[in-house]
Amino acid sequence: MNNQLYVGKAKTILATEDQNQVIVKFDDRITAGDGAKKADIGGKGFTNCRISVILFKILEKYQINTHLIEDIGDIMLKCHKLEILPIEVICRNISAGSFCRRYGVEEGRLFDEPLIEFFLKNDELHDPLLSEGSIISLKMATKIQLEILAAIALRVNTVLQNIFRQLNLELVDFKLEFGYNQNGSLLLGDEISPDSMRLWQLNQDGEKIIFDKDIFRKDLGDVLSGYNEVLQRLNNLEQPIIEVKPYSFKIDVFLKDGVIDAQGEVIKRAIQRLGFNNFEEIKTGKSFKINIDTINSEILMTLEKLAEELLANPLIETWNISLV
Amino acid sequence: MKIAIIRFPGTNNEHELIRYVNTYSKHEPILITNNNYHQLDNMDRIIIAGGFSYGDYLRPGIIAAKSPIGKKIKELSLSSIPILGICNGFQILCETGILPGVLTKNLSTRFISKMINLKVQSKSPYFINSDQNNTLQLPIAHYEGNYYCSHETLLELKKKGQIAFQYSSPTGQISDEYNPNGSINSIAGIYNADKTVLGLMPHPERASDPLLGSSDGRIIIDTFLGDFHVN
Amino acid sequence: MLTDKETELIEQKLGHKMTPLENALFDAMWSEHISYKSSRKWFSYFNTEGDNVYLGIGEGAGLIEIGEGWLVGLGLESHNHPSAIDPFNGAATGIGGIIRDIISQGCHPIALLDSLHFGNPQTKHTQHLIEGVVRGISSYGNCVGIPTIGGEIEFHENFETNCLVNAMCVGIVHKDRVVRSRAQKADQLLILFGATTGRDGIGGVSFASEDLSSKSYEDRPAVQIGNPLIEKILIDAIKDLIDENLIAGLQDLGGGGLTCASSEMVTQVNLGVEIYLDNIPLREQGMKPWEIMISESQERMLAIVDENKMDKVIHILESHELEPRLVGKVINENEFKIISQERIIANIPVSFLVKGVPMIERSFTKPEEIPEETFPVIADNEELKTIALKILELPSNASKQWIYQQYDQTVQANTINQAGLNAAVIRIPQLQNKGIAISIDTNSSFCFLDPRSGSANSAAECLRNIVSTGATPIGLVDCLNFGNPEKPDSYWQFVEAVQGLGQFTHDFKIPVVGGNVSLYNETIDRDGKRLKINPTPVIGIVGEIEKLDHTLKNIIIQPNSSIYIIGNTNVDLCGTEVQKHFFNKLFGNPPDYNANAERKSMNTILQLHKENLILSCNDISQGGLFISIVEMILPSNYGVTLNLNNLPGDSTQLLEKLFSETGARYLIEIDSNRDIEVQTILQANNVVHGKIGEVSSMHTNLIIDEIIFEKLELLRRWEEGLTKYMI
Repeated sequence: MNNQLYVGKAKTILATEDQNQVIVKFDDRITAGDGAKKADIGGKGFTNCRISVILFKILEKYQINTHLIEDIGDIMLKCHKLEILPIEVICRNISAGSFCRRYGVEEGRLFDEPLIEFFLKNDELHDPLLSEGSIISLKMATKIQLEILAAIALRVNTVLQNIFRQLNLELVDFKLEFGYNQNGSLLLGDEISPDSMRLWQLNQDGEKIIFDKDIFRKDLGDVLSGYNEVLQRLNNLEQPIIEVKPYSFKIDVFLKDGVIDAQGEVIKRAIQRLGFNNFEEIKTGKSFKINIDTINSEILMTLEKLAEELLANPLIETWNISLV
Repeated sequence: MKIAIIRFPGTNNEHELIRYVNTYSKHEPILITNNNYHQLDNMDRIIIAGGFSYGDYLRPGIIAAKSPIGKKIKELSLSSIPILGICNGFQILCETGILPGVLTKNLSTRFISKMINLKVQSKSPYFINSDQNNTLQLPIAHYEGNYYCSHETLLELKKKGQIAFQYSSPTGQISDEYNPNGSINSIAGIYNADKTVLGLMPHPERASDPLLGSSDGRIIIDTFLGDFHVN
Repeated sequence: MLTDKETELIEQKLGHKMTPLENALFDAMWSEHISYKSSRKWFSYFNTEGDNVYLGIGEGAGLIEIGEGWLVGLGLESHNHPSAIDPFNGAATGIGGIIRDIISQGCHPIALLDSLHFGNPQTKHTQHLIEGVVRGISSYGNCVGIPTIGGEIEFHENFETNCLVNAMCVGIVHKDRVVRSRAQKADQLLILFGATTGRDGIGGVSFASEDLSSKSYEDRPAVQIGNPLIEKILIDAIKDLIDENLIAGLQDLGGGGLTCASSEMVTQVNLGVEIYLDNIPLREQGMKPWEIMISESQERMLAIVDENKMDKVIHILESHELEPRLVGKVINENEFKIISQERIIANIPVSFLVKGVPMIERSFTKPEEIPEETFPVIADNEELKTIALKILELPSNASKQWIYQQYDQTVQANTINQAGLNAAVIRIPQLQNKGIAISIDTNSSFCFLDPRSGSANSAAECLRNIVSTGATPIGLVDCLNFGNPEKPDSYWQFVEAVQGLGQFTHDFKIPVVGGNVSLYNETIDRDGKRLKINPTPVIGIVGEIEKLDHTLKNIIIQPNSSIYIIGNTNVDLCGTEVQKHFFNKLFGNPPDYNANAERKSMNTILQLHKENLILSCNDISQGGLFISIVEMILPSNYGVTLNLNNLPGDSTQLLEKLFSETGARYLIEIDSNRDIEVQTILQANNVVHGKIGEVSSMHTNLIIDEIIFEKLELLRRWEEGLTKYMI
């Protein structure tokens, strides 16, 4: 079709009359191992589209902005056109897949805290792992932008983990992709389906039943019936109310270099009196924590303005914004 | 004349200023608070009293400056109504931007209450216009009276004669020895560009009677409350 | 902690075992701190009457008439244990508490003073305490806008583990605006306003358990955090409420929180109260009823309001953003009822709660005397000079400017005599040329040796400070700081001190209008040894000044004037600075308390002052004549030459003359042209006196019997005595 903007591994992006909107079409193609293994599973596109719609709508309730505009039905969703961030954001609760291969550990290890990883979206380079430092050095994002991505992913994790536990499923890990719409707003894009996450049912007797693309990767059985089981459970879900933590921004305010910090001097002398002499200087500052429910495109700008007009006096102070 | 005396939550010098206006002038002091500040439109003079507005939270004067009263005062300052800001009042004037610079912590990092001497550096018909007084004795009582401004601002202040008072010896000598808080250039008080606004850290209302140790404060406030004719 | 006997008594009266809530209420109300069960019976020794007493002991502040319907309000309180744990917040909230006592009577607060007692300033611990306490007092008093214009500070090793922080507040109110702290009739409403209620004074998590039996009211860590901004707003709001005559009564919430405030306000008038627990605004999650009821969160007031005035009261309080809530109602029945979620969760006979605690009979025994030693003989003047300078630079005697420059001296523009002078003096602008003098004093060393005479002499010293400004004493408040009353020796000290102070108040007909008792100021060290404070009865006296423009300061002002001493200087070296210097311990009998001599000296000074014959004046107390004359010279531009050959009294050695601490003595500066007038009055009063020197126009030093003390040296020692220990 000549309004195809992009054909991906499992979806096709179609243009619409509105240059800021696209149609995301979920196809029946399925691949694994970087394209090494391929197949067509009739009905998979429909199932993944339905699952994505349900989950996007749930996430919207928790102030996570997604690219979903409208459910056109069947295998298609009308979405905002995004300038995709070439960073895949992975969240892991339990060790599985590439994590285990990379570090030589067994699958099924429960992490104390959810682990966030970033990968470069690049087929030729096989989506290499990105460290925070690399991302910043490559100027793909700033530190605070990364902190925001991680915070959103953690909130998605809290919501989805809760939802799936209601359905007797453990959310092992998942992948998110983000992008910017025409207003510069950061939106969650792509899909959320068994193709992009791992779901296990852990039975009392120790049996582990897999309901995601690992069925295909490891030839564990009928892929579609596993995916449809997930859809069916989601359709019967009684939505709980999930408590999510607010996004906690921190603004640190310090005196500029060159402005005398009298209090710092006094504290320095007091510390030296206690016998600690191993330092040059001590500077006092203030720290403000601001909790926000929703992250929108203007949040950083708003915080900068807050710092400049109220929390700091720019004549004598500088500031730094971070996410806790 | 109507003299507005501003009280924010935490201001604590308002009563003595009301008493001053009643004792030493025939004008009417009006206490302005968050509940009646619209009356500011009808005032002839504004005094921003000292104290700890909003507990000095965040930094002295900032919350008052951003409050509705603070915004109103900023608006009125553009119409040349004479404004006197004492101590916390000076801090508020700086945070509103009506006066340049900022007041920071005393170098000693302690609150300091003592009698000091000021050299009158520059006159204004609204605040001090007689040639008879080169030095004044006034009390200070503050924790953050250390005036700071950029080098450019300081040059500007000097050039335009906006430095009103400097901490000095009893004979008007300026040196670190007589600077109680580390203020740049020993600055104790400054005017705005057209000299209708004065902000100073020392308290003229507390030097209103020889019994209190000095009556030099009368020189400033009486002038401020007087009818002055300006070209 | 409630004793077994008390628990038995309560459960018998209630007819069941106490619930945790009831336990908490009784634990608080029957604690020593609130019920005065070990001390109350001794207060009958005090003189509490006087023609000018408008409101005596019993409410927040004592009120004394000073003319034209105006009243001076006084209060004095301790905050010792919290200050030892958290000096900044302990001291700050101590100030906050005493201010609230004053404003709850309708007064406008006009002055603060403090009495501080610490251990050795060479230890880091003491330095930390000094720094924190001074900052705490400074930050709170300055922020509320009350000048802290007087005080005393003492350093003695016996306060090392138990420092003392006592705060005094003075206010002014017109008769027409006095607010009482009691209800009048049933159906009056109780409105709580000010700060929200948290777990202050309870100790957080460790007290969140249901089982309270192992924790006591005395034991709990009592670190409250103050908010002076809210306190200033309280003052503004109360003024507005009184302006429109909207409140029938007012109580501040201090020790025992809402329980104490609400129960005390009804018992005095044989009424009861019901509390609506759920209406109390909380600042923490999951607070249990007992926590809410005994929380000591600061800056909260309880107003008694007639129903028809409720709306206006709420409106005014809301306009000040003070979160007013209806939290209770006065009822006819003798009940203290707490209602939560439409259930009555406690119902106790309120009179039993407030007054039911049996007074405790305790035994008291005089402690063993300390063996005396002989004072060394001083070989020569050089040695004497060295000793004198060493005494001058002792932190207890040295300049306290480092401290009081951190206190706003001039806010309210009424300060006539600031801190550091003989006594604080404040102008009362409502009364033309009138003012009041205020002083706070104690001599814990005298009290250690003899609590009875020491206590009376402490009050006499305070009196002398007042009189030295030309003021006539009109009222007294006290704070009695002692050790563990369960120990007979400490209790003996308390009983003796109360009697001594009581004697004083009768001798001089000065009414006691308020006060506080702080017991249990002692610690047991690792070896089981008791570390007790010196008995420390802190006295605050207020005096009336008729002619403000003639207020006397202790600063020599005129060259060639004469220096006179009033009173005998006898050999009284025990309990003195010079004894501490030589022996680093106390022994023997401190100076006698001589009411007649004190009265004579006082009347003489006041009479001389009435005739405008005194140029400057200083009383003689700690450190004797030497310290007294040095205090007059250092802030002055002139020097003094003294000849002590004919110094009246029994002392013969120069050491005795300089450092004896016999009472009833003053130094005065007189215009030499008016010698004859002065002599006439002195003879007529039959008071012991002697001309001992002159103010020099040639030098600025102090010369005593040929010993020359250079002013610069005196100044340096005096200024650095304390500051050399502070950063």
